[in-house]
Amino acid sequence: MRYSFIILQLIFIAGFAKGQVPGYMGKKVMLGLTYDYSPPIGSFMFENLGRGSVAKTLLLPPPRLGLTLKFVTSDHKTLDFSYINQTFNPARSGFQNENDYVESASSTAHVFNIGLSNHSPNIAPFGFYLTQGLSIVTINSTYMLQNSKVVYKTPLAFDFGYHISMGTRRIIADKICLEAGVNLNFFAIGFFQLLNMEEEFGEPTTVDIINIRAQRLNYFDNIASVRLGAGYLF
Amino acid sequence: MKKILILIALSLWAVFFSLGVYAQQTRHQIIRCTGPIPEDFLPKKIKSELLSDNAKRQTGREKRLFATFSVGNNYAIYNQLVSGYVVYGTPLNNYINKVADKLLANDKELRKKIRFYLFESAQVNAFAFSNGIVFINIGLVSHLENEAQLAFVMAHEIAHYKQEHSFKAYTHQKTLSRKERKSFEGSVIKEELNYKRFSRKQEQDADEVGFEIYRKSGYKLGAALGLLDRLAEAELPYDSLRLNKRFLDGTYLNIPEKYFIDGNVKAIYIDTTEVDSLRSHPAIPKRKKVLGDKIGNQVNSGEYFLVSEQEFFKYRLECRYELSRLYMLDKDYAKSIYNCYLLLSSDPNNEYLYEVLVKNLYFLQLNFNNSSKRDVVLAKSKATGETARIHFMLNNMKSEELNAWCLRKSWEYHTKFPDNEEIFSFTKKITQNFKSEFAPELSYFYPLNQYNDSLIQSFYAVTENEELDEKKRNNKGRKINKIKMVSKGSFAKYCMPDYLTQAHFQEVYQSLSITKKLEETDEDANDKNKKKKRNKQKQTDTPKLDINKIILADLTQISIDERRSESIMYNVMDKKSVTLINAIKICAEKNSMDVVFMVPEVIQKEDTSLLADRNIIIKYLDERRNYADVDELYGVDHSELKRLSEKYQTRYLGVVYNVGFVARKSLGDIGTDVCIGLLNLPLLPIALFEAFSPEKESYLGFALFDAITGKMVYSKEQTYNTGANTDLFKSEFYDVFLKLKSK
Repeated sequence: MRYSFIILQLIFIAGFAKGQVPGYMGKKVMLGLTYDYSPPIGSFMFENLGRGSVAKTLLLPPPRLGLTLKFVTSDHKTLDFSYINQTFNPARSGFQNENDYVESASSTAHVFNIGLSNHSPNIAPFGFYLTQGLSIVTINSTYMLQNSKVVYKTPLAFDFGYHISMGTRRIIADKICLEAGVNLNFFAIGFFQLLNMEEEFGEPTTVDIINIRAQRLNYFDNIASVRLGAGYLF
Repeated sequence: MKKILILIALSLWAVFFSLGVYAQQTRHQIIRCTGPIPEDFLPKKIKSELLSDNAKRQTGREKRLFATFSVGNNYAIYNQLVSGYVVYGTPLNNYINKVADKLLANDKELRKKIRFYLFESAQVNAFAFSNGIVFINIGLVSHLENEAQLAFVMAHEIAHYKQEHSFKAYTHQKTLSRKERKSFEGSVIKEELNYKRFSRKQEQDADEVGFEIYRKSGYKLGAALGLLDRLAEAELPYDSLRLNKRFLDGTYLNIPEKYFIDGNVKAIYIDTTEVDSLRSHPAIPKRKKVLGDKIGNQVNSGEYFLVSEQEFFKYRLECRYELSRLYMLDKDYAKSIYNCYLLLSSDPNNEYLYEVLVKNLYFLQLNFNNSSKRDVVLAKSKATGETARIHFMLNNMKSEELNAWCLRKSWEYHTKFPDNEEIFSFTKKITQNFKSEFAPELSYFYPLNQYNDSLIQSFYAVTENEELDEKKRNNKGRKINKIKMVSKGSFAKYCMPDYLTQAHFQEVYQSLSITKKLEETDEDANDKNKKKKRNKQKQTDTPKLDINKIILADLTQISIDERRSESIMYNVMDKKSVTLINAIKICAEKNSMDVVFMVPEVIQKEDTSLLADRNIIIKYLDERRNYADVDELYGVDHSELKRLSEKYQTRYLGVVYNVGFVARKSLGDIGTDVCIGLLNLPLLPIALFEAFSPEKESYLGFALFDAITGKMVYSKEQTYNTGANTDLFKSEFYDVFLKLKSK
């Protein structure tokens, strides 16, 4: 933890030490909120959705809200940190485990991204951008058994990936930043879990099933999303 | 006896006094605008005038056509007015207005609508705009023989306005029938020929209508025919006095005989045929015939001068002095030198003319040293008239020889006028260029004891047999007149023997540094990649400039919208220009940068000196554009630029360009975008947005020049795939000013 703090400090210092960084009208830090919409492909593929819930699932997937912090490091580049919180249900229609029936489950994913955005030829953080970076996700899941009504917590699952996003940013009143773009995030473990046949042919535990499904859903939720955002420039 | 002595003393005093006056008059004052800025220069006036004009149109179609016509025309008029070349408020303007009063004495209403301005151009031309503004070129006034000829030109231009020729020409182009368009078969030449045919009709009409106005005024009718003769010789200087070689020679520098045409030169080709299909104006013989029929036997009826003969010749002479400068601005250095020669023949000590001569030498040297000799020297076969002698000499000179000639002559001019700062400044620049290109040390020059003119002339003495051999060797049969002297030597090293002993020359020569650009040239002059890399570096590196004040002299704002019927929309004083100016103001304020706005959009009626100063800067920026490849460029008005830099306490001149482009999207493009969206459902909203939103592109550029050194100190240009908006302007200009302020 201490080392990562020192590394972050060094990155910031390196960024700000360059005296000629213009930012937008001298503003070099942006704090913003984002909303990502991704079609729930995973739910369609792995869940038996009732007729009524198709439209609901499609139009109102669980909200994916995020917080972003950007530091302008050079004329055209920013260093981005973002956090996205998302929830999904890895057992929408339930499943039978060794002893009982898993009635419902809920997973919360905390996605942490670090990336470098290039705004060239615009001056960062304005205009078109292309961001590339790394992501880490931790997934906390809980499930409830039908008979005992006890809520169980699964051990923490995690995944890591590479993300690429592009979009455009406009600035209003020299302070408010509006953003629209596309985000593609490829999670490695989630991808391999798609090929995992444990559930069909093996003898997985409830925890295994929940985690495999959670990682798969996380993979699909992140693979492509449309992003809208707003931020404030300092 | 006493009385006689007093009379002699008085007459001697009078002679000395008149000589003194004469000496004072040997300096021509450059024609500059004076007095309040005319309403025409204020953009609001132009707009309102065109709008009120549109109310006169009868049909809806006519109104629509006029609306689109006025967009381009509006821009063209205003662009000319603020081009820096329009002169108002001078005695010559007043004189022209007096001639106009005589001409339109019977039509007061029309007189009120027509405004005449002088235009600083060497071309023998005048032109009228649809709102009644008429420009008369200085080149035209220089070539006229009498006031009546000026009056006829003005009557011709008034006729263009009266007959609404520019709008009719536009309507003609826009309303061509389908059959006519088909007949062009996409050929630009056919379309051009059709346009020229129409233009000739209009010119003929202007001649006839103009002549009726002219006839009523009381000017000599035969003068109109004389004017057409002058127009036929418009390509020549205003006179043809034989050029004496001594004018080009220096004290220790005799231009080799082989470099000079001693006999007769080729006379200008005057087309006397009546074939005029390639011309915008009818052939001169045709025009003369039509006018001759109208004049009949009244050739001698009327007066040559109705306003003032004295004023006419006085102002014509002023224009002729001005012509030397204008030829130079047009890069026609041979004509400029010859024009100086013509004027010096009657005014041999005119300091202004020597200033022009030394500047010509500087620009010639620049062109020779930058491998653009062909841009300024005519091929031997093309040069006509007395200037052909200068072209012939320049054609034969090697770069080193021309540099030596420029060096020698400039130092002679400096010696003649040692106190003239302008001459000295350009002499130093020529010396510096020579030093950088050929002679880093004074030891390059041969001293006086080694000077031998006959030896030098022997370098160029080529026998007839040698020339014939040379021709035979050319198997393609082309004529070769190259003079063989490369192996024998040149006069360059012998050109300064007397100056070598002068402490002043030595001091100046040794104090000048070798320019950086020329050092690089030695390594690799034509390496374009290197140049590109250097330009890229210029943009990415943060230069340490420490600039706190700049003059923003020009702002070009153009919008091109392919979706509209009139695809090019020029914005004069529109929202976008105002947005851009405001963004620049805000960014300058944030960076504590002091910006003097000289852009037309902010000029008010009372800013007389601001507009006059802007005109000087704009001309320099035009010259800069002409010499884009030259790292350092002294402008023609170098001393004026120095004065301005002192006045405004900054030497930095900035220009801004913004071009917005909106492309038309085809149905195929829209379909492709929609299909991509349908195939990639998550991307559908973006694909739909992309499909139905217009495709925009914008270009933003900024350049900053040092008025004293002539160097471009900073530039930034970029193309963006978005429309140009306030936030784009602000982000870019904040960055620009931050870079300029960097220490």
